[in-house]
Amino acid sequence: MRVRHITIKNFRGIKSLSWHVKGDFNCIIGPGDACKTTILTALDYTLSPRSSLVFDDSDFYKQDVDQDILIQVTLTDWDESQPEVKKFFSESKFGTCKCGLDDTGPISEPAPDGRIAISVVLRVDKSLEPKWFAVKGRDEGQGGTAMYASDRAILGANRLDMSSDANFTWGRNTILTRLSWNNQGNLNAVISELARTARQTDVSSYESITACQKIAEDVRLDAQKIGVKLSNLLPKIDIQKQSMNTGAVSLHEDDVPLRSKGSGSKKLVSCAMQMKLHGGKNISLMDEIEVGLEPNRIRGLIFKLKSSGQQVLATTHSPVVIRELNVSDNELYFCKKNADGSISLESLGAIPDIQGHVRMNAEAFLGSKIVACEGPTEIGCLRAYDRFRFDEKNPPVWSLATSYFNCGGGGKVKVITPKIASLGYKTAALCDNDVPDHLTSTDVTNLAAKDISVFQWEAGNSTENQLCDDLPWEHIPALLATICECKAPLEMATVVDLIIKDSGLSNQTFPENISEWPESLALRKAIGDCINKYNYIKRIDLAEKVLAFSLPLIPDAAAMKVTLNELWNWIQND
Amino acid sequence: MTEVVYQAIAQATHGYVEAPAGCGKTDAIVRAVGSYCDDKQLILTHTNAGVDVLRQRFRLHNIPSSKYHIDTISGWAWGWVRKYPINSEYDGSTDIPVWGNIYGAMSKLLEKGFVQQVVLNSYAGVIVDEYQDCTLAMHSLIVHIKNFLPCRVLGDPLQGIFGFNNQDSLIEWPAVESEFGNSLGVLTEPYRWIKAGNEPLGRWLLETRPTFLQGQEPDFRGSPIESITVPYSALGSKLMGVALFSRWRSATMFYFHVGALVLA
Repeated sequence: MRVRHITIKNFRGIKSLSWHVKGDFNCIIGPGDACKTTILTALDYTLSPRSSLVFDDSDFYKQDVDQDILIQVTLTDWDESQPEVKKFFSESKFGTCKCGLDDTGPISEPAPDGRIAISVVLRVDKSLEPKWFAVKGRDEGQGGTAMYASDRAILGANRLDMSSDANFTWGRNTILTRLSWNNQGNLNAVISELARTARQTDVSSYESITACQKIAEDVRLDAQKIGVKLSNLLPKIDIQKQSMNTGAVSLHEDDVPLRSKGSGSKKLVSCAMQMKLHGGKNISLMDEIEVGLEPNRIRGLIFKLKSSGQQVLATTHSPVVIRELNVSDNELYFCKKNADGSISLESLGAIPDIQGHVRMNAEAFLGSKIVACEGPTEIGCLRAYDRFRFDEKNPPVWSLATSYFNCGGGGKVKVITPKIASLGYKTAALCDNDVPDHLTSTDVTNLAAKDISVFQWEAGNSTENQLCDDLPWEHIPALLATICECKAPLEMATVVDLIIKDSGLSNQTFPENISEWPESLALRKAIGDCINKYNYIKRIDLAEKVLAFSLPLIPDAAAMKVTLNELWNWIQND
Repeated sequence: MTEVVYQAIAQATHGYVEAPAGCGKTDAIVRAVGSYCDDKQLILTHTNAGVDVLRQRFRLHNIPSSKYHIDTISGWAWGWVRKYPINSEYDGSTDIPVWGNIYGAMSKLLEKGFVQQVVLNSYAGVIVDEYQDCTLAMHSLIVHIKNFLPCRVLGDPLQGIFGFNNQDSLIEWPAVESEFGNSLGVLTEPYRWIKAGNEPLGRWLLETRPTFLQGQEPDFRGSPIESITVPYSALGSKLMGVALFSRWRSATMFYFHVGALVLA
């Protein structure tokens, strides 16, 4: 099945949420504490076949237990030719619970040519006892057809992340047990027989366990396909488990329990098992999908998941993951928590022509505030300023979930920033001011109306010009020396020649030693133009180095520092 | 002979069984489902009393409940229609059924793929008892099921209770025969009379059926039926006598004719 809509009320940090899940691979990004993981937990609690869940007061939004926790998940796209799905949708089960789904969410009946859905509700009131129901349409807090753990097993949802060690044991409703369903016979009887025998003998070759052996071999082959090479996989008594119950038999690679494997391999193996169980029709919930995996394994896993036909709902903090996903297929959602506790989720695919920017600036999309910069020079400048201002009183920019975004040219700032802002990111722009068309005063007013703050240098100035205008004259030679150092083997003499030649001042004579040049606005401009024209600092690292040298020397009242200070305040406070 | 009919009921994709009263219709359903069907059958009848009789008989024969679901046509239809008032275009309250609308509404529902699929998921076939009591609206509903599910009906054309208006008029047996196409057999053992110790009466009734079916009065001469003729004016007092009489004599057949009372 496929999750197509989720409503959450009063669950943990979420006051309210309504999310249309559009894609098959859905990855949630957003700043910390935006309740990304809570969304996956809500899905897990509602859909997975766990018979016991313990709730306490802290699971209620703001601990207000008078407001019931309500999670409603609406699913579509099931395969009604599967025997267990047929049974699920029979008259005596949930056959008459089929409902509809439209742009507003679940509706009580399918519309003509509309989607046919099933809506599952998890409700917890202050008795703290969770109850599951199938409901038709919007849940009004009452009624529904009770849905038990064994019913929910048909939905095919499973959480595959760090806390999934149970997947490697034959326990109640675990994947291995469900894979063994057909040849399970009476699993409990097998286990208790094993337990009795275990007290007296070595059980590794005991007959009863052969039923589990076949599944173990299937898992090994499937894990291999997904890129985890395991040697012999055997069901064995896990001696770490104190009591002998159904969880006591678990998968071992030779003599090592699979739960002791690396977290990445475990994730891949449980993923392969899950796909096998539901023939690709399953729903995988993966918090921080990248954890424990190298970039090449991340790419492998995402490729495998996408081609398996299953639905994935994941969160990520990894630019590698972001670059692998297609925004036009609604694979990326930005999650934002609003002041009233409501959560909004926006598909990046809603914004036209944003894919390239997402790939190029993947990191920027992982925060909540974005400073859109004209190019690498401005980004380097901001990084240097952050270092310059860093002290114990002010939190550094990185701790404020703020990222710099490279727009790739002055003219693009006014096009890109509204797109970013419309996704829900707090957005500011830092631009130079040497090409009037790039950002006119009307543009600035328009952007301000969309809550985008624009920071610019003085009229006519590129970043290089502004730097040369504001740096005290006596430090200009050291500035040029720093540039030469960065751009080695560039020599000072070359730079000086270029400045004089390009400035149209070659008919004048200048002292050989640059430190003896007379200060003039024309010369400052000539030097700035030269640095700009020959791209001496148009790289993040170069700009950062040169500005790190310059910023402590520039007076606080100078335009560059005033502007940077304003932007700093926006980041800190806005 | 009857075993063949049971088998035919179980295996046919559609068909009808002519089943005179007392000839083991309930047994035929129970045996067909219990002995010859593998998967769950939906068994529909008209009254809750009918549902009870069937249910008790299934329990008596220890047929697992996974093989059958018994319901009244109205109860089954209402269960669906109240859940899907929009799709069924049902016009009325979903708390109190408006029976006049429900069969048509259910027929609408049975045209929807998502409903058909659930019925297919739930049942391998449908068997309708007392088909002669179906109104045209019910008949149309059953025909909708027949479009996608094996559908067998049993009934006695001689037992139809009169309909009260045109809308509610009963299905005529020839229409049943042409709709369900093949005859799966006729039940011919008068079990009820044999059990009650009056087999000759049962036999005579079966033999006389053609005459009844032609709408003619049978010839009572030589029959196990005693007849007396009473004047119309004395009918009331004679009827009282019959009622008292029947207390101690079961398996009794009364034949009413204008101006005459026939007592067997």
